[in-house]
Amino acid sequence: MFSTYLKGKIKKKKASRGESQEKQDLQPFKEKKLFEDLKRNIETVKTELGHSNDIVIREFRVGGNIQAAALFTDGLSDQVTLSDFVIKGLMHLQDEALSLEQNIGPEKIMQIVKEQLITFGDVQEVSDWEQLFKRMLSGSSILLFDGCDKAISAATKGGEQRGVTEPSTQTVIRGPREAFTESIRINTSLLRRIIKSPKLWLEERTIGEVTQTQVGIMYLKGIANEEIVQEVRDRLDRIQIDAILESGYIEELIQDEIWSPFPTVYNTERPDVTAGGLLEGRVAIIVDGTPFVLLVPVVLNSFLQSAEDYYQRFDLGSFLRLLRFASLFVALLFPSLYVAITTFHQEMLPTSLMLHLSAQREGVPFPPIIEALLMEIVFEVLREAGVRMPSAVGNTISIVGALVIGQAAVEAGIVAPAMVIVVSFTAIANFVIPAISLAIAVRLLRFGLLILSGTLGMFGVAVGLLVLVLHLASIRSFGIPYLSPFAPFMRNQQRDALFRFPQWAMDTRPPFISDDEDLVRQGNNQKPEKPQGDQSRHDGE
Amino acid sequence: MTVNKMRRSFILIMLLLSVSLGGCWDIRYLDELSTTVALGIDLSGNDELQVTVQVVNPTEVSTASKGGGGSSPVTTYSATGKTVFEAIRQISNETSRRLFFSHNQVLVIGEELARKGVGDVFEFIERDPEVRTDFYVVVAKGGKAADVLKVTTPIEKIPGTKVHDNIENVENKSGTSFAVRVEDVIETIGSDKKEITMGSIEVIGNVETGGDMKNVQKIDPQTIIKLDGMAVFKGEKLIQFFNAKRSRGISWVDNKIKSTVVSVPCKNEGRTVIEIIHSSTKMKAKFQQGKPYIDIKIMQEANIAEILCPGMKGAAKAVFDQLAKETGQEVTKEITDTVTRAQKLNTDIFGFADAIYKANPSYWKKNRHNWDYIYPKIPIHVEVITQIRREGIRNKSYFEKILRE
Repeated sequence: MFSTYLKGKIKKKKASRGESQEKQDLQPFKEKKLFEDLKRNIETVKTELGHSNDIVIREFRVGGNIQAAALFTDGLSDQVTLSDFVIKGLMHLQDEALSLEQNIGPEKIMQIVKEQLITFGDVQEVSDWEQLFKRMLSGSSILLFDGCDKAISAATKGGEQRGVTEPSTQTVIRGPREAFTESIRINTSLLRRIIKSPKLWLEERTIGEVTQTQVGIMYLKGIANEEIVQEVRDRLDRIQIDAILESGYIEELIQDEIWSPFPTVYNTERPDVTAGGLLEGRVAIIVDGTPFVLLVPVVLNSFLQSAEDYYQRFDLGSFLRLLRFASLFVALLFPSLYVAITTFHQEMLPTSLMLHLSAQREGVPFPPIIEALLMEIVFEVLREAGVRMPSAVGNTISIVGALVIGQAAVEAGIVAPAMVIVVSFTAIANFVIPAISLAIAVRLLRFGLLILSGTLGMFGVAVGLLVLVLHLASIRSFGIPYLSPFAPFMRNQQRDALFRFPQWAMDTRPPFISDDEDLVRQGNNQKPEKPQGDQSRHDGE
Repeated sequence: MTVNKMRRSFILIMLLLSVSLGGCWDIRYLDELSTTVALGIDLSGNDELQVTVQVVNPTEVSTASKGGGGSSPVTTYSATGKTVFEAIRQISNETSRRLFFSHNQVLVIGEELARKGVGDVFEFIERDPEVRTDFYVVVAKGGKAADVLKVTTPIEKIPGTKVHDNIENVENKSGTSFAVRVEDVIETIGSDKKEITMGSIEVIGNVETGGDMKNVQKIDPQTIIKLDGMAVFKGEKLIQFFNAKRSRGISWVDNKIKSTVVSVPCKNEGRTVIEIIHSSTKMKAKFQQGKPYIDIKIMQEANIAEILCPGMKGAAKAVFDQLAKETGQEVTKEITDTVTRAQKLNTDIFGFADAIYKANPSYWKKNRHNWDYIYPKIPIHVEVITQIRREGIRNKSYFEKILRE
């Protein structure tokens, strides 16, 4: 019964959106009430779940003669909580509350149980099957009473979960060491621990017809732009899909630009980065089952910033940002410039460098463009192998890679040593980009520019860059121009863009993201000043 | 829908084709190029030009490649033709690779050709987009350009680079010769208000053995190439080589002095040597009763390099003032001598005409045709202001004692 409902749902999605024909057939089940008969209810649960072995059904008696059953999923529910706070109480119900009244009905018992017996938080009444299954399969325990067409669901969520560990991406030298985990509840709590404000609002919804994945929208009321929050809600509500296995699914379904290599949604596994985003007025989308939290809206600049920029001194922060911008250009352009200059514009090289390069190229069988593509592909293969390899053989890969590429290829005269330098420096520069999603985009674009440079020289590179800039200028992320605050240029916002000004100078939130009602983020005169008065206190002694 | 799709794919194919077919036409691979570092042009027979190129053998030059087998770092190729370009194309009969001129460093012109006239040599160099016009030009004094290009040089493996760096070194350290670029020459020929000068270079020793690698294997190479004074032209023809002193005179008037050495005789015996560390010349034409004269004003800073005068104390203001005055006089003398000489040859290498034109265009317009009569008689007025800054790390010279005894 339930399975046909699912099939219907998925088929409907495959057909076309907004089809209401089959929806009507499914409607009855969706609102189908529980039966009054306990046996029938239990039977339905068993059939619907195909007698799955991890569904535990514990039958017992309440108040002497009323049959009751506790249903829960083994492994998802905390059995200790269940037995201590629910079943124990129910079994002793006889002695206390019921002794006062005779012949009490199941409805009444349910109310007493709900109001007086279950000693912990989230307890709800469930009357239809859909709710019942959803709650049971997300870890709640269901209490059914004979003769009553409602059930009680008690949130006894528990079971094994990975603890909070150090982030494996976006690592910092100075800064918090915790990362998000796969559990949405731990993740929201990590954020709440950083921002203890009542303005931090969380909205949750379930997405994924089969996986029933919990997705949370978190934002700071009053700081986040209400229009953007609404846009996030709308886009999330539009999603109809069978499964959400990772926030990447959501990202692809809500992003602005489908055909752009550039990410318009930021993802991070760092709570402090997410909190920083929230404080700038961004909206966080937290998906159960993945440590990667999404942040929208986002501009290109955000992908080149690291949390550490703000934790280290501002001068170092600014230097590192400039370094990252430079690395971005190196990662994008270095091989193409090398190919363009050595095949078309040799006059641009200093004479001695040109002579060195031509000596190196003596006897190399391939033209530079082929050489570059070859080396780039070899590097990409090595890199992918390095990621997928079990870590035990990772070392082998790096040794073989370094030897094969660096040494043997040059000695065999297949490639020029300069090309190895170019490719490896490019690869390293690519790793400087703090956000992987942007690094991937750069990696792909590099190949396009390489081919342009190999065929059209510097002209090709210039055309490629022009197209790239035009494209970047045309992208928006949730209504925000992707190149802000550079284009449109915002003078005041340059304090936290290419450079990182001291904390006391960054006195407003970014107006292009935040709600512009309240942009001030610090008091006046936060710039520390030298203490007035007698400075020579110690000298006199 | 399908029409639209077809059109779209058509545009896509056209774009791809335009990239893959249109691209690459001017592709030149590094390993298919012969980089020239020096270009020599000589007169061959009566009216033909002999062009010599000095081409780098990259594997011999690069320190990275160990593949060198003791062959020379450069090779020269020569060919003759009616014009420069025709001769260059003739060279392809001898070479396996395309000549690449963008990195050319010097142009050497044979004396014979220079005396006959260099006017038509630069047309190709200026017109061709691949050839730059910022390399230096020198005249091969008393010989052929081809001979200069055939001499091996120690330290700098590439003779072309050696000549190039040598020109700069002389300009920076002594001023007896200064760098003249092809573009300067072209500009000078183009204007009628100045005459060409360029450095000169000569081969000392045997040209035949100079081309052997054995030449540079010796501590004291038997054959060397050496820069000499400036070559002075009248029109497009070389008329005289100036000696070192007079060449420095040109440098002084032309504001080319960067650093040089002036020696001033003492009252009785010995000399004091002054190192000019900075010099700036302003040349202006001025008029007195309708007649032009040239006003040359030089501001220079100097250090005392050597004091070989008995009884002279370094650290006294009077001494400094005295030395500054004497240095000025010495410089003035040099300049006057040079200008007199040039006026005698009736060649306006300093651009006095240009200065007069700038100061008084109408005077120039009226008298341009009489310039040859006016120029030799133009008086000059030289003013040198020298400021002596430092005297080294010594006040009294140890030398003083020796002189006293």
